[in-house]
Amino acid sequence: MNIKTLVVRDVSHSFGGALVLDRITLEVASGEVVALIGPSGCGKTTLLRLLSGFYGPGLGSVERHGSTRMIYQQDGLLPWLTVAGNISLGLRHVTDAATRAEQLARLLKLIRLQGFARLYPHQLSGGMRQRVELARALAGDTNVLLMDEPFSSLDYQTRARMRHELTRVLALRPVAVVLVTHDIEEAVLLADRVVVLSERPARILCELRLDAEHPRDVTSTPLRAAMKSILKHLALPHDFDVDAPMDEGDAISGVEREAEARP
Amino acid sequence: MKSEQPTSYTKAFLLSTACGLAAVGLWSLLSFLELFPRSAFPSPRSVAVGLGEEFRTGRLADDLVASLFRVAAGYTLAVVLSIPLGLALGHRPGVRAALLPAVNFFRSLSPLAWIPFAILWFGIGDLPVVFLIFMATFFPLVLATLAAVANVPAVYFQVAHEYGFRGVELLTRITLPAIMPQVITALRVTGGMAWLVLVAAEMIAGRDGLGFAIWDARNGLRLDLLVCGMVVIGLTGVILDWLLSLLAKLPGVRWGYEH
Repeated sequence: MNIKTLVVRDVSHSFGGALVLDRITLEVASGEVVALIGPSGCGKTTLLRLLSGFYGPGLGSVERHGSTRMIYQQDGLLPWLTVAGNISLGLRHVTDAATRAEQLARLLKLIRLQGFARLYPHQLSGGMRQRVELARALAGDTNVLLMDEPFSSLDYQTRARMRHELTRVLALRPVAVVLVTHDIEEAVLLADRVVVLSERPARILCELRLDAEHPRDVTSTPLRAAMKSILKHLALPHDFDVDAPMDEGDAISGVEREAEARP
Repeated sequence: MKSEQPTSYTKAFLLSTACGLAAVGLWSLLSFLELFPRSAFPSPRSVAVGLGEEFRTGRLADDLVASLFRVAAGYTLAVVLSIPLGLALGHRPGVRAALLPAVNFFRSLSPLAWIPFAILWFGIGDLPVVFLIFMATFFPLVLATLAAVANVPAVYFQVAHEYGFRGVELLTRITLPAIMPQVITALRVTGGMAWLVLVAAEMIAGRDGLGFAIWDARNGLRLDLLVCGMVVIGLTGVILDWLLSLLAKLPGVRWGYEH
């Protein structure tokens, strides 16, 4: 986890003279999942697009070591291509047909959709489509995976299954992951670190490190404590009754790297 | 609540045949009751006899072939030229700013307004009819293609950018497949328009064809043959629309009709 695959240094960005991101600094190592959480419209998606290289930052720098792929909030599968066709987009650079077929088969096995290669996205359930997007994003030599509220359109049960599936797949194919979500539960269940952003212009309010093993239990004391802390930083009402005192040295460590006071 | 099952082909065929027979029955009844003079309201029987007569002489087949050729020529030309222009309008704001007002202007003109010019420029025969069909279908197809491009979800272009699609590859592998369902719907609508304009154009600027046959029958007060022409035009229109609807069943475009 020591090799930093994604390094963001003092990035600020404006749209039409309005500051959207204010001196964001972030490092993500290979195999690490970092969740970005913040109020709606605070600039999370803008930050993700900067990380993807879709556009460059106004100030500061973004270093990506390796190739970056994105999983979108909307359905990003191309509906006129089959499951195999969509995943193969990520294998475009593989020129040898046999190698490409072998990698495709491996990815289908990874997401457990071996029998679905010839189906079109509209023939799949929401969860299956998400798994195909995940396989496409992990195809080839992907080192950084950016996820923009990937499960927000799914129902509760499918979302829960997809979280489990993501954890399983990332354990087999570790990459640096930045997950934008508005779902605090999702953030503490999936992330190794949760970065809480302020309202626009977004700046980092705090970072929480979560060391609990997967699969995690959202009712466990450490996770409830983390959720309470996030809600507190977002100045949202909360009614968590965390019985046991929070053990910061155990499941949550290095809680609250408070953002420096901005002039 | 019991869910509605998709209608099978057999059931659809039986239903449409029953409706057709009911319409012919109503027609026979109205003809029998002589609500209108017999000379102004031909019976189904006289039309059937007229149809047989037209088939035997070979005139109907000649007219049908002439009309189909004109529709094919004018409509194909419109499709081939309108889709690239619609793509350019959809992708290039400069082209859109320059040409969209003109496209809207010509789209608003009835194609029949061009008939005098069509005759003056191309005389009588195939060319003026082909020209009128082109003018009737070109502009709506340009606008339909433009609208289809504008409706392509931005996420497809983000995916395309991420996976390195540029230039011609972006056009052929992203934009065209993404707009195809909407374009096919527009093809069906404008295909019907082409067939509508054909009749009016042939009546005035043709020397043969189904539209001319209708006009000729009217001049000869043979309303049975006039209705023959109407029946053939209607049936041919249904068949052409069915052929175009087959495009929507292609595997790469079915997604657009699965909502």
